[in-house]
Amino acid sequence: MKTVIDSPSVLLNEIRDVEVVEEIRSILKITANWMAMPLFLLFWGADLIYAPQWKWEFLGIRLLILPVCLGVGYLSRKLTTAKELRLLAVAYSFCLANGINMMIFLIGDPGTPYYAGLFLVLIGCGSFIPYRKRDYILTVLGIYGPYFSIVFKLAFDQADPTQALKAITTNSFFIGSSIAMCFLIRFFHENLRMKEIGARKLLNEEVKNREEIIRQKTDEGVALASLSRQFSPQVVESIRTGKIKFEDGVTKTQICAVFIDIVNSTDRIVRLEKENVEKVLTHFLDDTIKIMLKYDLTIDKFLGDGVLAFCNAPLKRNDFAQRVLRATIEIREKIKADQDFYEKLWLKSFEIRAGVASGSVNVGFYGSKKYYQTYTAIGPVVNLASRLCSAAEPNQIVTDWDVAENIKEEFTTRSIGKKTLKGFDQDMIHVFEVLDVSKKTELMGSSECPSCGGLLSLETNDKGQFVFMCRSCCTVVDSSTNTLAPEKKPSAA
Amino acid sequence: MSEQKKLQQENFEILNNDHRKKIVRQDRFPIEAGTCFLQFSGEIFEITNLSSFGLAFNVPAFKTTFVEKIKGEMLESCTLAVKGFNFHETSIRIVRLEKNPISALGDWTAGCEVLDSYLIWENFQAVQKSMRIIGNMNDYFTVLNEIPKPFSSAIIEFKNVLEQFKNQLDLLEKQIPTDNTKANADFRDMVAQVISSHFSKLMPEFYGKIPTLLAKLTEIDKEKCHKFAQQQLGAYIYGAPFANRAFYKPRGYAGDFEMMNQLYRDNIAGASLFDQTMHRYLIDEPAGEAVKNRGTYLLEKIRSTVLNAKSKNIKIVSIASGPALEVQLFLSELASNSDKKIEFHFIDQDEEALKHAQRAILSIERFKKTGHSFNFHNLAIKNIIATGVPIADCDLIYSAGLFDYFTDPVATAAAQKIFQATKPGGCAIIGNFSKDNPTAPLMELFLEWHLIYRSSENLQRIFSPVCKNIKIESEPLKINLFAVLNN
Repeated sequence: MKTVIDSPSVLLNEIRDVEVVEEIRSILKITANWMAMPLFLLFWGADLIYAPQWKWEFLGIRLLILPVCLGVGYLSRKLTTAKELRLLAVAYSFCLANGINMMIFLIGDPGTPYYAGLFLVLIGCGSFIPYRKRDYILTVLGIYGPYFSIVFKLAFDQADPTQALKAITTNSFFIGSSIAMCFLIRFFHENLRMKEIGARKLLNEEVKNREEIIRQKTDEGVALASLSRQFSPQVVESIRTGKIKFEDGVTKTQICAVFIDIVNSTDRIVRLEKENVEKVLTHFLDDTIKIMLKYDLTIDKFLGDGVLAFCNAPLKRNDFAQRVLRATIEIREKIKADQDFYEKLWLKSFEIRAGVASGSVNVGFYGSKKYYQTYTAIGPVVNLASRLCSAAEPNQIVTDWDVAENIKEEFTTRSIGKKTLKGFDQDMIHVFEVLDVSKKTELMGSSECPSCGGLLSLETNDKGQFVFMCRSCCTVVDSSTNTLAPEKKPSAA
Repeated sequence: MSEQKKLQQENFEILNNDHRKKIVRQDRFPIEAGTCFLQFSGEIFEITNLSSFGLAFNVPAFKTTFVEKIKGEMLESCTLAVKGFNFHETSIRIVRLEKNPISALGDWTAGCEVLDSYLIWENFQAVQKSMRIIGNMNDYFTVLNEIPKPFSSAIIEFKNVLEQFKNQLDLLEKQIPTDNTKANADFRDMVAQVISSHFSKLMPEFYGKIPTLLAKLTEIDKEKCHKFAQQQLGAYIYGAPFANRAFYKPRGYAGDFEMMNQLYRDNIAGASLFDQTMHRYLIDEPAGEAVKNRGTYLLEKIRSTVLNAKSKNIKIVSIASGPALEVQLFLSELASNSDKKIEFHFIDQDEEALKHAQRAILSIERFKKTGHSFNFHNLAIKNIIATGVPIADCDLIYSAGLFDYFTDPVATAAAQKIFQATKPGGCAIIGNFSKDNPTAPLMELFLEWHLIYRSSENLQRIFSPVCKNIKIESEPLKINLFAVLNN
């Protein structure tokens, strides 16, 4: 339920009230100290001309202003709320006006021009003091109530009040117009102030929002920066644009995991110089990560000389098992191609072994939100991939029956029999070796780039031949990698 | 009023003779940067402009002190050289040295007057042009050194042969009767036929070796060899209109409709007798013959489609139709009271080709009044692959001379779209040059005409995802294959 405090207009009024306090204080200070006192005393000069017979009485009345002004000045510093200060201003204008009204009464002429002094009071208090309507009305009544009482009494005390009434009527027009003018001045001024306050409030909110947005984006950026260590640029972009939603929790997903391990690494690391080991491992991991990210694999963890990665989370891929195997085969080929480099530093053939398994796991961010979090998969599939890797010979990629059955069209496999793997003692696992990508596969692929999943477009090469080229990575798709899948025949026009 | 003031006009100041600057005021010829140098007192400066009586040279900022010192002095034995060749010696005096306002390196410019033997501008030009020729020859030798010797020798040898032919044909051309246009044309035609038939034995021996010579080279080296061969033999080959069009590709690609017309017209063309002979040779080459044969093949297919069609309304679509000669021939032989109504559709991305086909076909139709409809669609192949053939339920869709430019994935995608537009019982015919095209090395090396050649097995493989019922046929020379996809 909305509270009163939540209402935007109430909030604006509260802000205005805070300003009103200072405003009234400064106006009263100026009018009391710098206007009322000097003016009142200065106008005694006019008294000497217009009412010399009352000069001493008028001086006495005028001198009464001094304690009034001093009192108002003192009270304006003491009072703290806008309501109290408005009432003080009303009382102040009453005192000022009735000094003049007393003079009008003493003069005895209803049409006396002394009523013009009331205009000064009205302008000084009515248009400068930020009254509410009620306070304005009180001020007007305080100023002109006694005046009209006095002048009507004086008029009717005369034998023929006609002239006097005419004068009062004429004066009333001026009085009425002045009251209206002052009201309008106050009204427009107050509106303007409220608009200004509203605009200031909006600006403050906008600035706060922007600060909030900047803070969020910075956090996002930091998060994405850390994600880019685990995910390919396409996945990071998908997360950034909202195509993939990262739930805070962990989800159950089908993945294909690969565990790659360097053969005899422990033995080599002990025997070799530290610098050479570092160079070899850096080169190996650079290539491995690059290839894995190319196929949209998620890098789970590094285990010194091994890498665990999986596919189909967070980005869903229909061909996730194929991607894992293609990446693994490519890594193996890359190592073979760089064998000269490796042998120089490793002082032996540099070989890997890999285990691939697929199944259902829990995937998500695990770890401490405060200190360290990583996107990882937890489940028996990961362990199976690791055990299969251990069971593999050098340069062998081994997998289980599920994966082999799934990829048999695209890859050449051979059975290497049933094995007992640690942690999976209940079952004999039928293990297969993945040899290579099948030559028969001119795959009935997709219109996605086989390298990066980007969109293919029809281009011409420098020989004027039409080719499919990836818009993202500029790979040219040739006959050995991809063709478009057959589509359904459209209905006749 | 003083004399000076009388003469003085607004914004015009008469200079006192004492203040008159001593400037060499002749017209100068600007010199290309790095071409001409002035040497004196052991220093070398680059000349920026010169005339018979004066020259200006560039002074690097660090040499201004030196030049300032010798300014005003007579400098004897100053040598002017162009690319190391000293062509003039004279005496000069530096009369002006000022900062070059447009030099980024803060260089200065010195102006000199020639005191001794005056410069002859024509001599300078002669030397400059000679050095340019030497430069060109050096570049030529550099390129030649980069080309593998067997290849460059073969090219130069062949160039000599063609040069001999050209010289002799040029001599013969002067003897051709000129008073009778028909006799002239017949003479040329006969010479072209005889010589081109000799070319057809000679040329394959030469360009048959090219693949072997280029086999082990890198792509960059192959590119250099291609350029070398084209530079050497271009003058002898590109005079033939067919070769000229194939190489320069005025429509943006080789094998445009005008080239097809040249093949079908089967006439000689070219400025000289040698060019006409070369043209005749090229259009009579096996590849050219195969293209002519495919017109006959497609004509036969159109006939059989019309004959065997059960419906009275037939739709025939030609993709990359070009001049659509097969349809022109079909219409020419068709009886005007045929009871079947054929809706012909011609799709081509070349608007000129479509207009040409439209003119030719509609002029036949005006005469034959067959009542068939002819629709011309200016569509790019990209549109067809993206959105499909705009006509559905076709009895026959054919495309010859297009799929040779498609890589396998593109060919499969395009075939899919084409096949989808056929109705049950209809068929799609896709033509492709076979790997047995003997003219391929000539086309690639000299004409930069790169097609994708496919065997029957290749065609089966790339079209098998599209259609199960595929038959591979060919024209008589078996250079052009046709995959017939039956729906």
